[in-house]
Amino acid sequence: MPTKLPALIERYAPLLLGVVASGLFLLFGRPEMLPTGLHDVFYATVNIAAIGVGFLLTANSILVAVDGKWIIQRAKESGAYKLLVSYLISATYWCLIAAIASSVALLFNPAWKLHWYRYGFAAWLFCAGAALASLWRVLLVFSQMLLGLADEEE
Amino acid sequence: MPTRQMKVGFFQVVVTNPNTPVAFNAILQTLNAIPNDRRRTMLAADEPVRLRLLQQTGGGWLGDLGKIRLHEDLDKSTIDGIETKIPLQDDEGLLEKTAFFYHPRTKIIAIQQLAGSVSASSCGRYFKTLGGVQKIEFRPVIKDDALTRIMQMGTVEKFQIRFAGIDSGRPLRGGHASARNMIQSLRNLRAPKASINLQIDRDTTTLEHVGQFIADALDWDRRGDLTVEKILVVGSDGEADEISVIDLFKDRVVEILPVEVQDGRKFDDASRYSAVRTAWNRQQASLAERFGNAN
Repeated sequence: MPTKLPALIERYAPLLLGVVASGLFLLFGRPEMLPTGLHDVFYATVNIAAIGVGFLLTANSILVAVDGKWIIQRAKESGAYKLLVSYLISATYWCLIAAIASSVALLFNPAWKLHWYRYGFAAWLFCAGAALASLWRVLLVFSQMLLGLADEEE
Repeated sequence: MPTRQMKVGFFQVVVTNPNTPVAFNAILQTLNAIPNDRRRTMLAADEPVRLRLLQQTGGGWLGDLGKIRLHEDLDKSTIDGIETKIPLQDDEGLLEKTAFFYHPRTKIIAIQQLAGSVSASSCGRYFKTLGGVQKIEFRPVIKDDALTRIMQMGTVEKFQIRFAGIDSGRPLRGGHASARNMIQSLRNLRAPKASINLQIDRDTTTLEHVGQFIADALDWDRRGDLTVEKILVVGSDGEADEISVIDLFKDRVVEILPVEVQDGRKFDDASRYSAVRTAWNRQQASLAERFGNAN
């Protein structure tokens, strides 16, 4: 049976968003377009990535704590649980990669206008986009799981 | 000797073959003339069904269908923990048996009902296939008083079918759906359980509509498409304001019989045949009154 489009989008969302973000910049962006205040964006990214990792760790511990619940058992049987766990792991990696990429980027001043900035920023956009999409994906799936747990309490 | 309970359900047999009408009795006579070998087997995927016994007795047909569970690995073990596989040929498998008793005059069939054995719908499919007819329906017989109460309803206010929620996530496995959609489906199918409510229009011939919906719902359950948990008909009796609620699912005609078994083993053939005959005998008078002359 062919995999359905929403499933494909869900599975490859981080790569898709990363490729689209960096691709658009490579196509239409110029190094001189990089604002001087870009450092603030990198700082913010490090912070958001750290918050993201915190959220992911909390989500992991919630999943472990509610292991015996009906929705968790059924999700395990259907394969959804395994997917969610893989999304959590993937999101943690992407957040770490985005944080590291942003920290490295902080070492360079946009005003220097180095020739490789174009590709460097595209690479950063790829990591940041993938991290954002992977976090968003976890949030969407995890919220359904939490609503399922809430249904059980009614 | 310990006893186990055996459930026997009752079904009205309806054969549809527009070009050359055929009675179910004639199909059984044809099958009875076929030698008891492969020619009596309906090959269906991994679980062929075959008629292992058919004989005329007590004004009806006593039969036994067997479902062969092919391609299933069977293990055995000694009490010391030595485990081995039971070798089976490609055309061999565990046999699950289902006894039935068909009464031609009333066109009612009593079928042993046991999880894992040949279901009523599989029985119908078997006789349809080997009888070479267009359609055979086994319609569950509803208790007379339940039907009477419905027919006495001047107005059917509401008709509700409730389906059971799912108890396993396995049906969703391998469906190539997204994790979000899978969890959403699990939530939707669990609570509240799916239900269909129909408010009946007072100006239409309500009972005819309700009858068709009931037939459909019972058919979904029989075919295994959906597990129907409840069928409710809500209406008022003539001019009275009192609302009457009838759960048709609880009102199916079944007999639960205690059958003696040795050391908790499965029912043996003789006790199964005896049980379906006993079940028929218990219901014979009331079914004869409703569906025809029984002897």
